[in-house]
Amino acid sequence: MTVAHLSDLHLGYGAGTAGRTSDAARVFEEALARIAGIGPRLVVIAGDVFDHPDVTAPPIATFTRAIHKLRERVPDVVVAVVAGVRDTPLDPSHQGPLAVVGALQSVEAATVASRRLVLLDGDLSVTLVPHHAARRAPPPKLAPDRAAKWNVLVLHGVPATAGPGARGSQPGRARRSAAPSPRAGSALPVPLTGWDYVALGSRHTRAQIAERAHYCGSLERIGPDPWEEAAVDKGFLTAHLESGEVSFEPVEARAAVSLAPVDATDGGTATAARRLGEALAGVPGGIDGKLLRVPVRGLGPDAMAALDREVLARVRRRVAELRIDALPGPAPAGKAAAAKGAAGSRAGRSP
Amino acid sequence: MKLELLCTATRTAALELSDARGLVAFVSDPDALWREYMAAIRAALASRGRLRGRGSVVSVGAEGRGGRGRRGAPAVATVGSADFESLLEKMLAAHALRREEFAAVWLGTGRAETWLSAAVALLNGPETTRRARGDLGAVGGGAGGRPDHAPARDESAAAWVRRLIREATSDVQRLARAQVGTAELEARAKELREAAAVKRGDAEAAAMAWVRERQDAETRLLLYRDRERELRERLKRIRDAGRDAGCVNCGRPLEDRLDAVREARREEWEDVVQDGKWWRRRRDQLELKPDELKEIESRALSLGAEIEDLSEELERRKVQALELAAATDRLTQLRELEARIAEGTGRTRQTEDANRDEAVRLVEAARERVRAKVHAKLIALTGGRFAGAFPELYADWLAGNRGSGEDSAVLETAARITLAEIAVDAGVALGSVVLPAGLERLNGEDLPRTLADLARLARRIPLVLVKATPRVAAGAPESFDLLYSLEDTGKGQRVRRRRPGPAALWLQG
Repeated sequence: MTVAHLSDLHLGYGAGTAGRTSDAARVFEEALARIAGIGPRLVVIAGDVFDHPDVTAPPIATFTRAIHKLRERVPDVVVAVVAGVRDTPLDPSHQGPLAVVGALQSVEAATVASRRLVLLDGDLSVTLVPHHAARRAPPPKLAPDRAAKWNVLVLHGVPATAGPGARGSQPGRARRSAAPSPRAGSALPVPLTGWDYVALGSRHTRAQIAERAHYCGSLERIGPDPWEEAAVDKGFLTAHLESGEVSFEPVEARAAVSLAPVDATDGGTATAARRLGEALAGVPGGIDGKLLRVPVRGLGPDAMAALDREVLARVRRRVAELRIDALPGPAPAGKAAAAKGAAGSRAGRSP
Repeated sequence: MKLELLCTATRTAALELSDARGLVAFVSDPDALWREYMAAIRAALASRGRLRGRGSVVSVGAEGRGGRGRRGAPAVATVGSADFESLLEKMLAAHALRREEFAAVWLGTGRAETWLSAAVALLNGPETTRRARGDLGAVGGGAGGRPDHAPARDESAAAWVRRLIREATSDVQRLARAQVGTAELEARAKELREAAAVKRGDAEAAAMAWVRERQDAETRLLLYRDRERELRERLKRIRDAGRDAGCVNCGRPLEDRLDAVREARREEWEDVVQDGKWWRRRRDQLELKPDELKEIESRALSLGAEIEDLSEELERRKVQALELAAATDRLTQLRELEARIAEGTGRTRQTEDANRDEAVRLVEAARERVRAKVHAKLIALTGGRFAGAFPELYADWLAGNRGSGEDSAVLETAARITLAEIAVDAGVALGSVVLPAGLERLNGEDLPRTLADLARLARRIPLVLVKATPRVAAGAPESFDLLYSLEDTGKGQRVRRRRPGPAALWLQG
């Protein structure tokens, strides 16, 4: 019995921006094509299917099309989806976009209340807890179905007692990476005993939280600082319920390259342009289509404007996303030599 | 000064902020109530201790830099009361800030020059600021104002003050003229808001109907395709097996009923194909947004744009009304100064010139530092997209040209955050800052970065209160610590608050 586990698809991410409109859709379609090759009976999506609840028609069409293709290759597949925080409208009287995709054949969605699906003549029980149900008081009581051979729990949330390396990384949560996790007192109790697999969503990096409890992470590098995840492979998980074995299946997310600071404190625009050129030339595989971060040290507003007109505007056209960081003052002593035009300190890998 | 309660002069729906911490948003669209909050607190601040009736409440002392370690209960006062004036005076004196400069830091009011003047005073520190302001004159551009407000070398102090009086008089006249016709504009804005609310409701209903219909067509089409495939396979099986083909119901060979069954299946298959074609055409028809929906959305958008323009104009006029009060005060002070100069109480010309030169140098250096900080912040919020345009954008903004586009919105937000950061670095116990507008005008790339930056600011200032539209709040709910919104109860409206973001999970065992 194999279960594929995805989360944090953020379909619709980047709408209205220059370079990344189709990224989330592309990796989702790739992931489902890979899942079709594996042929699981159950696919679970642990929330944040869409980037925001006021989603437009194209992301819904992407989801519909991909599910249809999956069904063509795996006709008896069931896709179980819980609504994440991004799928849930602020107005509690609205169910959000998952109510629409939940009407598709083979798709079972939990938008507001918890649901239990009983599949394979009662052998497989899937408990779905969407964001709204996880936040409400009193909290739902979560217990496995004793009559079922296999029990799967699908949840969207962050661990209240996260340890080192178990911190969130999702759009808009940059500061929370340094903030303590929520206290257990106000948290939803999730007893782990009796579940064959607990599929979690909300964090954008893959992590095993407990035995048989996993975050699979997002499929794409997204959010205000995608370079934070430059060195992390993106993909989905497959869990084999009989053996307990869990495997990671990578997908080809955008590669992210973060250059070492280009130091212009002892020169001007020309120096910065030359050092930037050297740094860009040293990026393995080039910069085209990648997410590129360029810290520039010691250039004032007017010199930076000149650099933008002369160099950065051309670079911007070649990459999917360009981020410039204006760093003040001279480089820290001892690091200056290494900083001058050195190529990527962190480069994201593509599988 | 941490906001504890934000209320309007007339309505009962108040924002209870006493336990609000972090990045907090008031979510609404349209934002009539928010504008009333802002107008009420600005008016209370401008009343200089003469407020009558209820007002917003602040506390001082429990929060702010190093405040957590302080002992004793915080001082609580109503904005505009005599108690508030006493607290404010202490804060202004401690940092050599003017009243309008503090309002700029705290509430984001006033002109760009006032923001800059506040930032320069905070960067230079109270002693330097007081000395520079004394050298450049007790009023006027002062330590943070334009250096070109300082007198030229060959200009006497009396002539300089006369020039400033001429400029201030012109400002007062210009601002008074700008207030003409405000009541008519307010009535028009109200009318448009009502019309837009109706149109938005229509658009939402029409969009839902379209999505439902399209989904229905897609589902039906898929069903017909499945059925067609099934029938086609059945026909093929009958054809391959001939008279031995089994009946679907009883399993016995069809034998001499073969032709009749085959014909019946073929007819059924053709019917399904015909119906399927119809649903395919229906689905294709529904692929594009219906004209009627487009028209409703377009009308709602144009109404929205018109309301936005009008709201901005009204907001500008409210700000100008406050500026008018400040300009009138300034004119009065300048006339007093002119009288003092006429009495011959000034210092010697030579000393004055030297001190003025030094003051101008200090002010210019600090202005350049502020520009560099705003530049770095704008680069951070936009990923460098406006790096090339910054010099012109910044000059335009300083000249008072506040556009309605995303470029001016993000520049103003960058300047606002920078000003708050400078204030915290200077040790101002702000307790809270308010970003009254602008987030809804940021584009999809800049908004998440800006919210992340505001969240970082909220780790240094106990309360960062922003106005957000539902689109902004729903697009990144996890960025906020608390959301306030208006809710219809049937008997009226009440303010509802909720904690957004993902649920916390307590994994046991």
